[in-house]
Amino acid sequence: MLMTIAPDNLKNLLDKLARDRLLVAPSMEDGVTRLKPVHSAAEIAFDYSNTATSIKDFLFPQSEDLLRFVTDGTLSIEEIKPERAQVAFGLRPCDLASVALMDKVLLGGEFSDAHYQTRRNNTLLIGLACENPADTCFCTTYGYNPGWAGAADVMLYKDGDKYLAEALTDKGRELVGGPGEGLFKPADEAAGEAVKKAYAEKDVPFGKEVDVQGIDKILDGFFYDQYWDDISKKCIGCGTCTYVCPTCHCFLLTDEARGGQGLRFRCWDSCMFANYTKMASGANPRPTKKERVRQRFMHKLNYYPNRYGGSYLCTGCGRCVAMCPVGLHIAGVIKDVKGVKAHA
Amino acid sequence: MSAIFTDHQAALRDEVRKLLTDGTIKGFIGYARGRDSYHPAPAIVTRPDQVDGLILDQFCIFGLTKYLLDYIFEDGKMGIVAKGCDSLALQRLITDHRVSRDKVHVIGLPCAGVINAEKVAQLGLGNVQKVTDKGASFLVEGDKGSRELAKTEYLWDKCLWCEHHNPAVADSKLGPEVENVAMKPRDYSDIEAMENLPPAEKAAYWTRQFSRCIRCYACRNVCPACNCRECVFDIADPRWVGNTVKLSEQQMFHFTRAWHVAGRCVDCGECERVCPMELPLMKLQHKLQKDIVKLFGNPKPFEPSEVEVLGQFRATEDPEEFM
Amino acid sequence: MSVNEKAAQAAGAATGPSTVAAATPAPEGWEPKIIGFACNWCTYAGADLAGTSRIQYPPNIRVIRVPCSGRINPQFVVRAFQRGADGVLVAGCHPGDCHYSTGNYFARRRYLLATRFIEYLGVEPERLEVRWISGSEGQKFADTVRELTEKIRALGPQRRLRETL
Ligand code: SF4
Ligand code: SF4
Ligand code: SF4
Ligand code: SF4
Ligand code: FES
Repeated sequence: MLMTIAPDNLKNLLDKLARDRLLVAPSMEDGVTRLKPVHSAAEIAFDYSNTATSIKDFLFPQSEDLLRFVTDGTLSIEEIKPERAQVAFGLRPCDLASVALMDKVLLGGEFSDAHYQTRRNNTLLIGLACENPADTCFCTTYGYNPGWAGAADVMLYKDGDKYLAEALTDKGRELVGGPGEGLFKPADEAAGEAVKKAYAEKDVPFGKEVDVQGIDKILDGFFYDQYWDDISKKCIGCGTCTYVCPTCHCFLLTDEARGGQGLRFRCWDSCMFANYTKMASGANPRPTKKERVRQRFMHKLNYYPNRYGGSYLCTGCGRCVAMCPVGLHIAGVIKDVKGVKAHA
Repeated sequence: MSAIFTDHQAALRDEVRKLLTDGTIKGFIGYARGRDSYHPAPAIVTRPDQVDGLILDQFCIFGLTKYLLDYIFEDGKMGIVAKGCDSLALQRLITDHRVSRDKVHVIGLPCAGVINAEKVAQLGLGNVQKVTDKGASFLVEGDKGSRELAKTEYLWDKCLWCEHHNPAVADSKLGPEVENVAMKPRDYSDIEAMENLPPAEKAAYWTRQFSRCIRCYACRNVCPACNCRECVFDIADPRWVGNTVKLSEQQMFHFTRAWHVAGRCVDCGECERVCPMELPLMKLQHKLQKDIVKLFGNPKPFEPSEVEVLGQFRATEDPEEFM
Repeated sequence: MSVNEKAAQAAGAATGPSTVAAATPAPEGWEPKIIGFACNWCTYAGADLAGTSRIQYPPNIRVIRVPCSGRINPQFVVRAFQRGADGVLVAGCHPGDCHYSTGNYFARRRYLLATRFIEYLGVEPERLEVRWISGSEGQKFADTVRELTEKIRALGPQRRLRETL
């Protein structure tokens, strides 16, 4: 069912939610708009194209405590559960799409990641359709679009001086009927559908330039291509692309102990780091930038679709396009591999 | 009206083609078009057929010298293009005995200043077609409009106070040398303002900055002074600096990064420029720089010298505060 | 709660001034904890002399013996603060007296810079003290520790660089 909500009511709702859970929203600090915990709606930036960091920070945080242990002769272990309820507001379609891709890895199959599962359950996702896609956005390349609701519990579309809203899950309907009671008004279905359609059809210029069709198959025979050698030379091996990417999910498990107290935690790791695949023996199966750069793009454009059925491990959010310091990004690789020269 | 980088593009390509063909160099580190006309990207070419991808324009800021470390264990020479500031970075690597001078062929690029693309990209001029040097300003013509931009406002800060416009290390030069004068004096007023804050406010400021860091290490990887064979941040045992993003490790990372290059930083500003989270890293480097100037009477600590500021002392002249 | 969230909370999560440094009163019974890095050849001997001469000084200092003041990497100081120190004393031989001839001259340059840098990051300058204390200066060692302890007692606990596991 489609509804509308006035901007003031939306702010009231967010303020209300911030009282009993962690409110995460786009906020501008020192010139950077990113998703971060905020205390109230007053800190939220409503005018942004996309956030520098993604929803991944809150569903699969950069470092996450898993368990505590005591080693004073006995051994006791206490699991740390990410129990705090969170609500993430202002998620763009590319991030909403990324959640579905991450779910396949961390929840699908035989094992599921308990911490990720808990956070997913505890987090309410409020999407916000894109009014002004940035010139680095290419979500349409993958079949998403500026109105794509993906994993959203509630999706919002700015419509003139109000927001069109749609609750898509039980969690979303509970929000509308619970804390949001009285703040939403029923919308004219036909007019609402027209608004949604307009967002879905919004122009994403960069997306038109990047055609991913069939790249998984082309890459089947591309592993040994000279291309990887050529483009990888300029990579400086930072973790920027993987850390800002909403779909990269490599991590590292570590124990730290001091004075009889210990902590097990995990942190993101990056396939672009030289020591990522370094083994205790000192051997490194991905010894040079060539193997590492190839891994990142093969994983996203070949291994993932082969393993998880179809979709690519990229949502066209454009973060790596905008933030890689050397301009080595997935949209360029796609173009290159398809024969449209992008990287020198 | 003086020459701009683009005027030297053809000459650069010719020279690189020649050097690659006659075997003087096995590869060349230069620039190519990046994601748009404001962001040229580094490019490393090894074959003559790649040379036409090389570009030079007034947005070519990226300091390329750190790439040389990728080739130190290989035979043969690498070619590189270097502006004045880049040649300081190169001297850094040479002085630190990380790169040997005879394995680099440097094409020097006299430089009167590089346009700050981050500022210009916001002006809505579209795809840049042409840039003309008008003396005190640049005329930037794009397909959606053109603007004349005052250099004092639109150059990178480091270009405004640069006193190294002509490359100090070069095997050949593109064009004549440019006048070697700073457009304005080095300015530490932002550092002084920070020094004057009460401790609680300083701590709050840095906590906010350090908490935003994603520990991607782009700042380290681009820095010509961060050139240790094995970086302390990569050593897993003992783990001197933890890899979590809890505040203490963020503080330790930033303290260590800045401190490890104290007195060796060449003031290229690349760490701050590449940071995806826009941490004001030069506010750390400039604080150290300012104090070094004041305490040790070294007016230009950013010029590499055989003996570093913290690798020497003067028994009687150094300030004594610890009696 | 993840460490991100902790960091975010510590940072006040907001765009405004952080609350991390807000002055909270010292807990009941709090005693300043001071880490003293002392060079083996002078300051450590000076501390020893204070002991054998029965000169009283506050028990708030924990001395870590190092070969030379030149060994005291400023990162040790930051870590000491993070792992619970309210104050840090860095001490070695008088200039000219270093057992290794020049270790303390390098340390002097380093700490002229490091004290200013650590202050710049928001630690009160009073919390980090650098002193030359010889093997015969038992009284100076005791006086230094007493003064430092009192300064830190007045400032209260150091929380800006504190970490928990
Ligand atoms: S690969 Fe780049 S564009 Fe794709 S999802 Fe990751 S950061 Fe976004
Ligand atoms: S591709 Fe770019 S962002 Fe990624 S590791 Fe390389 S330089 Fe860093
Ligand atoms: S480049 Fe920026 S975000 Fe990355 S590690 Fe350095 S300071 Fe942190
Ligand atoms: S610390 Fe920053 S400014 Fe200094 S040399 Fe390194 S990258 Fe350049
Ligand atoms: S041995 Fe005491 S300072 Fe060097």
